[in-house]
Amino acid sequence: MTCRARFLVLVVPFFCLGWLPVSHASAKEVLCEKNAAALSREGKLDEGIRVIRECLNQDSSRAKAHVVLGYLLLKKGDMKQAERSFSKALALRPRSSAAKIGKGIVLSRAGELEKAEALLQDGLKLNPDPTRAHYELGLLYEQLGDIQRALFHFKQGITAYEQGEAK
Amino acid sequence: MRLQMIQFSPFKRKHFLIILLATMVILQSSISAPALKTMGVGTEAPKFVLKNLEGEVQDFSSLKAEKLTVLLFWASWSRQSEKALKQMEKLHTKYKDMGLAVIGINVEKQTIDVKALTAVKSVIDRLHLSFPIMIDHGLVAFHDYGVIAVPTTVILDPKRKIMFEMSGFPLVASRDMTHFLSASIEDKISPVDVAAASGYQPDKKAVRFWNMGRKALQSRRTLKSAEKWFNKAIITDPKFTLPYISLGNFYQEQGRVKEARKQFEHALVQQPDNVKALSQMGLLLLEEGSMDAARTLLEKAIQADASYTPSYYYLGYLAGITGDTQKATELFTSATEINPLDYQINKYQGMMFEEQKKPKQAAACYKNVLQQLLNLQ
Repeated sequence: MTCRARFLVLVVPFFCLGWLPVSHASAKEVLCEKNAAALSREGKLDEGIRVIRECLNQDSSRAKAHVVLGYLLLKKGDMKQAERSFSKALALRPRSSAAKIGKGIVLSRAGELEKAEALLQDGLKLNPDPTRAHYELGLLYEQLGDIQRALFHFKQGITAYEQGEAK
Repeated sequence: MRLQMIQFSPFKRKHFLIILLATMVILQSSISAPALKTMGVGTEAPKFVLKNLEGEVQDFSSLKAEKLTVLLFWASWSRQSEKALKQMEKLHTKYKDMGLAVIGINVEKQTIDVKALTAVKSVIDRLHLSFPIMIDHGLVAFHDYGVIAVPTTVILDPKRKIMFEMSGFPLVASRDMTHFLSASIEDKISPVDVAAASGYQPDKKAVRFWNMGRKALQSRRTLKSAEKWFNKAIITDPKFTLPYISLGNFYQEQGRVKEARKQFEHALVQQPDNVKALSQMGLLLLEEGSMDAARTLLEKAIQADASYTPSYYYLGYLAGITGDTQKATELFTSATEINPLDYQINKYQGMMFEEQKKPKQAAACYKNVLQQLLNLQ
């Protein structure tokens, strides 16, 4: 057996065994998040919230799950709980653009426009799919009476969406 | 001598003219009207997986029938949908045991809430619908099929090949559709006649190449190869209009205006009343600033197919930027009545307001677009 073959025989199973349980767990969680989002799309918002909360009860270390919960609570109009979820997500993953945008939306709705603007702009810089961030910034500038900037962000949001569709 | 041979007596000439006129009317009316943005008769329709009202997941293969399957995209807010549903219920009752399946695909709105679900259920109960109704959550099938108007009827063979398409519920076309269905199910016409009745049937190989081109468009990595596939489809079947239009759109998006124009012209040579080619050519001329020519084409497009929304919003935009605000409003309203789910209506209205230096109204329109796209309504 050559040196390279021996290396492969020893190293590959080691990596595979280590990787499998991790990927299995994350696939389950991803499915859980997807289920919750799908339920919300089907108009079953409360059920979606229940599902994602159950997932978080089993593992509260996934920032993405907190973000999903945050957006569902936002949709329900429960701003306080939504903010809490986004803050938890940011504590776990400080560079989560979705959490920053989510928290920005909550602050914007609460009238804290300056803080909201900073978070949304931050989220926009980090976000590979910035349609929502542009939309929220458009709303924010509209509230501030800056129509030109609102117009700019709304248009950017549409362009981002259309470009994303062509990916 | 030859001229003398085709000279008819006045009586024969009268009969000849009547027969000619009748043939033209039959041919005109029996060609199915384009109802989908990028697909057409002879092409393969996309797969779909949808949930019914009980939440059971079903797809085309589990719902299709032996001979033909009708997909009816409908919504409770569309008045015409009710007529289409009633007609489909009759056809379903008559032919369900003879190889026909009808699938109602509800496209109420992006997210179905309790209120929307109640509206859907009340239509089903009131009309005593016996065929399966699927809910298009997130309007996935609606977008995959490129539905332009609500209602839209698409008839598929068991291999998902589009045999007939109809947008809205126009009297003549719906009568033709019934004839087409009855004749096909009752085996009164041969497959060749069926093909002729449902319009031109393109070459299979050309359709395959065209589909490859459309697939290539979905990814930036393969985008460039789309051009090659569309050209291959054109070479294989020069009478197949969809590749010309797809190639024209491809060039138009890349800013290759001259090449785009050439493709739309080719499509119009094949089919002078092709609503997609007329509309895209109209838009191209509009963007070039040839307003009168654009207006003529877009008006012709609306005459050719009153349910194709892009012609309305392109013409609405044109009317608005050339000072006819009232006509623009009417056209945008008409487009919204036909298909309120098409975000481009708001986008073009926003563009019009921007040209008119009305940033507030423009922002409101663009905001609506994003609310539609982000499912926030």
